[in-house]
Amino acid sequence: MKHKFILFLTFAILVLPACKKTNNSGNADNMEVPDSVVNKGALEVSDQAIENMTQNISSPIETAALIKKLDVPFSHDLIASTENVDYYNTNFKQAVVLGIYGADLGYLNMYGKTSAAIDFLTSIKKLSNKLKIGQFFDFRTLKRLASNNENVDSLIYISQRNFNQMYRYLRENNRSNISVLMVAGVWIEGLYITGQVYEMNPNEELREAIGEQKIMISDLMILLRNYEKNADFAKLIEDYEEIYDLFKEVKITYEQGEPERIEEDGRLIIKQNTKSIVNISDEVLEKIIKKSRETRNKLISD
Amino acid sequence: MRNLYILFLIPIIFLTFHIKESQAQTGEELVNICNRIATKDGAKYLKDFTVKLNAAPAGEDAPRDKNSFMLRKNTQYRFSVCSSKDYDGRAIVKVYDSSKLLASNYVVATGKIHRSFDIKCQKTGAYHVFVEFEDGKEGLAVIVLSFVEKF
Repeated sequence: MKHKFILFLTFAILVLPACKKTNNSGNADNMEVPDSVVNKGALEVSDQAIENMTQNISSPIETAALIKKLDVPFSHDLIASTENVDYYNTNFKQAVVLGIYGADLGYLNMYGKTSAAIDFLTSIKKLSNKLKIGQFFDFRTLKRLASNNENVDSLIYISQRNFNQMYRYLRENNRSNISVLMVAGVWIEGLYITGQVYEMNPNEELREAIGEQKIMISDLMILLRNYEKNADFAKLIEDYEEIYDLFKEVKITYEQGEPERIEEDGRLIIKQNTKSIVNISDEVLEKIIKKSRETRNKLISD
Repeated sequence: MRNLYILFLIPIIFLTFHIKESQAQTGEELVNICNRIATKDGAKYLKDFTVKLNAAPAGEDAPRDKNSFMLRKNTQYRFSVCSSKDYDGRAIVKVYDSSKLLASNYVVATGKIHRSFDIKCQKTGAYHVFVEFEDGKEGLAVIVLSFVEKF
């Protein structure tokens, strides 16, 4: 009898803890998703395609890297104010602004402005918690890294990855509408910053970077139109449609060439020789910059 | 006596499985390892995706996974490929511009499978990325896309 008891006890001690399911997503399973943010109805585009497009459009790092490469000094005036963060009351507004702050965080990180990044991280935490996706942000690590300038690369990695995980989670939980709004925010902020920098430092590379957004906005419009029956989306689409119309005047041509394979310091490098060439008139460029500024400012107003 | 034997056996069996499980590489660990390799010279992480494919049935083509990435002009990108040590398959990544092969970590001429390759992109647009495992073996791999520089 005594042996049986020990046998049972050993089994219980060793096996039962193993039955506990590991969940890397924090308290995701206990989350209550408000009905207002759950995506309903048949979609024109599959959720997988939405995730692909979402991650492809949203890359604030590359925009910031271009500006930095041109030796344009950092300007705090270009990023959104976080003062209004507590006044964004709807999921719609919270999601768009979360995207805008995400783009600004990329700009701050690329310039190593880590103390300002802490302020943005706090606001991002507030918005993502309101949207019930805060569990994907490792705020403690991000804040620790932001306090230490030497860890900028890790800061970029974790913040970018956290955003990507968030997009994936939203798709898997039938909330792609939220990720689409976030991407709309990231995209408009990237265009706004590039436009403002261009006005201060006219440059061919920036001009081309703005013009090639024609490719991104056509994907973005597909995503947005998926939700056009929603009144808030419909208003947003109206504004983005105006920008999209301006981009229709941008011409992108291609020059064909064969890729070359080279090795530099043991690294395999493929040099693409097919080139895209962007043609955009001064007038169209000016209109795009103006309209993107108006739209972005409207979105961050409470 | 028999019970004592079982008593001794249960923890051994359990610990054997538990140790094996805890040593298996997860996709998450692979992403972290792969990112460390990809960004050690200052490249910046952009995105990643994990591919898990079963072995190809006899006489059939190797299964493959498809993804798409947006690459921008005048930008050097790095594709880092990390295959899990828990499977035999080594990942082969092929990047297509429309239907034309642009780059791969597998060099046909040498038969070498590189752990990473860079693309100096000159054309902004969406690129299709196909992943399969060498000889259609079962495999798990993580592909990390990172930003190297603007040129």
